[in-house]
Amino acid sequence: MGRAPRGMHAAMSLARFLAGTLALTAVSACSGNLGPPRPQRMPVADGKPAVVGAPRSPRIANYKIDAKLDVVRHQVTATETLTWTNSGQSPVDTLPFHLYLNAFKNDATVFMKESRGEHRGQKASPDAWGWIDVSSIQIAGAEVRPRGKFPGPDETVLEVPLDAPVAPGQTIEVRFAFVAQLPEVFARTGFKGDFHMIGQWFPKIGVRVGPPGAETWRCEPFHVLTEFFADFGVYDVTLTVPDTHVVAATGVLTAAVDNPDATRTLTYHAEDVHDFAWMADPYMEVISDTAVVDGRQIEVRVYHRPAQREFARRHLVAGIGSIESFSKLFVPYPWPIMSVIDPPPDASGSAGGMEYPTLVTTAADHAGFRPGVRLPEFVTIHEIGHNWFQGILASNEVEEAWLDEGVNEWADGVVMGMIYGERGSLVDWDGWSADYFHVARAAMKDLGKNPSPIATVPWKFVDPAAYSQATYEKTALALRTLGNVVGRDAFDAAMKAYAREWAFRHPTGRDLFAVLERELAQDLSWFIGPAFYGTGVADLSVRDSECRPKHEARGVFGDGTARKTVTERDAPDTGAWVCEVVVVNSGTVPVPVDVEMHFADGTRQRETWDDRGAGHWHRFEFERSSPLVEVELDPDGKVLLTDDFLDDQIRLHGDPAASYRAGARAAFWTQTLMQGFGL
Amino acid sequence: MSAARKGDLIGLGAMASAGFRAVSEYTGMVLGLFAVQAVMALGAGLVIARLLAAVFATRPVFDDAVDGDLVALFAVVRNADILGAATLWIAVGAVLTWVVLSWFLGGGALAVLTERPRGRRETARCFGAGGAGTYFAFLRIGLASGIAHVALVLPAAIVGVSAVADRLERALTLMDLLGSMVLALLPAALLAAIIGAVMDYARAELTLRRPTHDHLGAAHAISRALVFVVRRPVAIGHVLLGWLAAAAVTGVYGWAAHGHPMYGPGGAVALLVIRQGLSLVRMAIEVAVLGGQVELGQTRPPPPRRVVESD
Repeated sequence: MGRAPRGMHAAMSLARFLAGTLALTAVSACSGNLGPPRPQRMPVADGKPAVVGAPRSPRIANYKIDAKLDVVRHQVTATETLTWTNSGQSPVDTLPFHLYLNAFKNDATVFMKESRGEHRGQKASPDAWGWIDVSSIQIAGAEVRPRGKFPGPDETVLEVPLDAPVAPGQTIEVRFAFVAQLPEVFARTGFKGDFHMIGQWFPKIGVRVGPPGAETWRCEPFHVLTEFFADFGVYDVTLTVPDTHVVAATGVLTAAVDNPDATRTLTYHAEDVHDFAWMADPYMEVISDTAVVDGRQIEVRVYHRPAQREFARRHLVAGIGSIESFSKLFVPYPWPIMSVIDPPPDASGSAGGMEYPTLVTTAADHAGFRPGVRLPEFVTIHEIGHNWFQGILASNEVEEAWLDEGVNEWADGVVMGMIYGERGSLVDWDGWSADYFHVARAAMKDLGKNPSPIATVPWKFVDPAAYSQATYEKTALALRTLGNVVGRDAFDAAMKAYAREWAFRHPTGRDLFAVLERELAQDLSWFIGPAFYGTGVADLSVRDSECRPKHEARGVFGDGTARKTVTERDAPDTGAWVCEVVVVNSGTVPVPVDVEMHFADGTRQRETWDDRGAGHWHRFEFERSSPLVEVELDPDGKVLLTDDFLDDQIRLHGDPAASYRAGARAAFWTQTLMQGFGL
Repeated sequence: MSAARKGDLIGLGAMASAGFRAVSEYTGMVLGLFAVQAVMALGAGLVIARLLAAVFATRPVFDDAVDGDLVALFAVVRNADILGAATLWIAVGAVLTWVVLSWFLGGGALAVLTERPRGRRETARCFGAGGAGTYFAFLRIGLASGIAHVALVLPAAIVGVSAVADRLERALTLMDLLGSMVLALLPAALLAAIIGAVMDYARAELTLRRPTHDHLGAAHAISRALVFVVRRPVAIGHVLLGWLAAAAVTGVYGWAAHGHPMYGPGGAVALLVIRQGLSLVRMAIEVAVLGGQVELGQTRPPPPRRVVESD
């Protein structure tokens, strides 16, 4: 081979270096290999009662399920026996069942049309649809599947007419055989690689609601912005999975046996729950510790892949703190175990952040969330909080999403403060600190421009952003504001009363407000009406503020010979100041608010303005020995349900010092850019 | 005088030494260039400050935001997005103005480093004449550089980041995050270094040959520089070394400043002084890089001279 000229050689070296760099970049894009799955150690039965004490709920819908997971085809083949009791006072001639997985069957379902194949930023795979095929339904030994029909716009609800009505108080047994094909997960349930998160996977009966004697079914098609609603019951579920897989499930493990075909059958038992979900994955590890509730030990487990160990520790601390705090605030956690699934990073956005009884999925493991930036912890706390708001207080998530999501969001903010300290509950990192509620308020923009009230059926919101803003943050801010107005201790006690009164039942929004009014012994309609059933917020601002030196009247007084002119010399300034401050609430939610006046001599004067029925504005007039320099509305940050709080605090005379400081910082960054681009 | 002669092979060490010499011999020029840049940057900062003051001078929440209250900062940013955009465009305008001015200042600096005049007056004359003499050629080189960056560097950066987008999104450790980012941007950075080196040597070539080759145009200089840079990868290494030095001093500043946010009026003055010091050091590094490039540029033979026949 000939020898290339020196220049050519250098050029080739350069080309090789560039190619190498590109290849390195491409290789780095590939994920790490965890190796082939290996058989897991046989799990030990939990040996704990599924629920503490006597039955907590009416146990209307009880399920026995025998399921086998095919991890290659991502399919669950199962039989199910539902024992359902008509707890109402009217006979039932039709049984409706949710077949949630059919939401992922094609792009013509309600869910897929509403979501356009996207959920929380995750896209549906066009090659991995999900569905549930119910091949048999037997009632009293008779096959009734052929009679079943899909009454709605898609196949997410199946109705089966009965030969004979189920009388009030009567129990009926329904047997199913079905195959559930899991979708590649993009909305809570499905698989991603070897990870299987299995929720909404079995035929599930609707709920009868309404006044006694006039009950009707609630069994809506699966909408993108709605979650679930079901009756409490007992679940006995056997899961057969490859012996290489770690399993976490609702309830307690009562038995585990190995089968000759390298599978393992695990039996779970859960009481007083209204759903059953499970996870199977060959690479999960588990860490655990105990929370103590009323002297009782609750085991909190976090399932995670090895690379997520550091985040798992953070989730564990959050999990223990939330079990103890929610128990203290509302009702004690009644089950012995809480399992937190930390999905692998490639499934985190799609499977993470979902709640099931005694089992939740968390999310937000990311290098950007350094210890102290508590987004991962917040997700865990939020999902565990759902074990109260809707796990125990089983409101209708489908129609009143705010009653679990929003109330839970409020409770999460309180619990974050209890665990991490109120001032830096959400962020406490590198000298920065912020609490959940004030970040939520600062993050909200145009809160009052959401066209739908908080109390709106989810699928009737104009878009997911409006749904999310009203259902989550606006509800939380409204409840916090109400709590601040009526007194936090009293409010917390009233919420506790609500939780205790409605635990293991199906409360509505009106039930919540009735308990609050009763417990707080006051009419709250002035706030609840506009805040929850109207679209507005409180919009407080200082409309006018002025101070002038005080003196006797000057000018011309009297007529004729008595006319007298009083000049500045005749009526000099007394040294005192006459001040006026006009505050307005141009929003639709009236709130009592503190107004603090700051004076040049450093003194302050605090007044309270109660906007309720006061015409949306108020003029404060006062005399002081020192001029007014600043007016601050709501100095303690109690009114969180508000838009644009930048004008809540104003100076009478502008001070540009902070602007110059900001300008100096901007100059440095501009100069840094200049050094990158010029000369 | 230059230590290198035509045809000599010089390495990074010699180029770095030439850079140090350039900065130490022409400290006044470095300070002058820095002063122009600082005035422009502070001018932009002043405009931004006045704009902010027009909106926020009566709102104490802005004071809190500037002085480290995270919630106040969040609220200000969230509710003043138009002002944020205005601030950004003021900065962009200042940077673009600096770029336009750089075609003159860069020409002047290269002329001084090439001709090595003695005395303040002679240096000023040389600087002015050099900057004016090569301005339009530098403008064309600047435009060519911009086009090359948009056509090559930007797509490389986009492709690189796209290749590791999933990794960035799922990074569990800072090492994952920063490592992926570095790898993603490495091809684009290398391309930028190559393009930067080519354009820098085209400018050096124009300056070096101006007294003898006044017919040498920007396109010719770029093509000659491309060949030169490809044959002498040390030119790219030298550009990268300059970047590394600037990144290192910035990193040292970041490390030292960590935990000292310097809020309030006193802190703001201290911050301004320290950051201007940092900017001055980085300006000196830029001039040192130019010095090294002149040194290397002088080692190559000049292009053939055009012979004009006359009767």
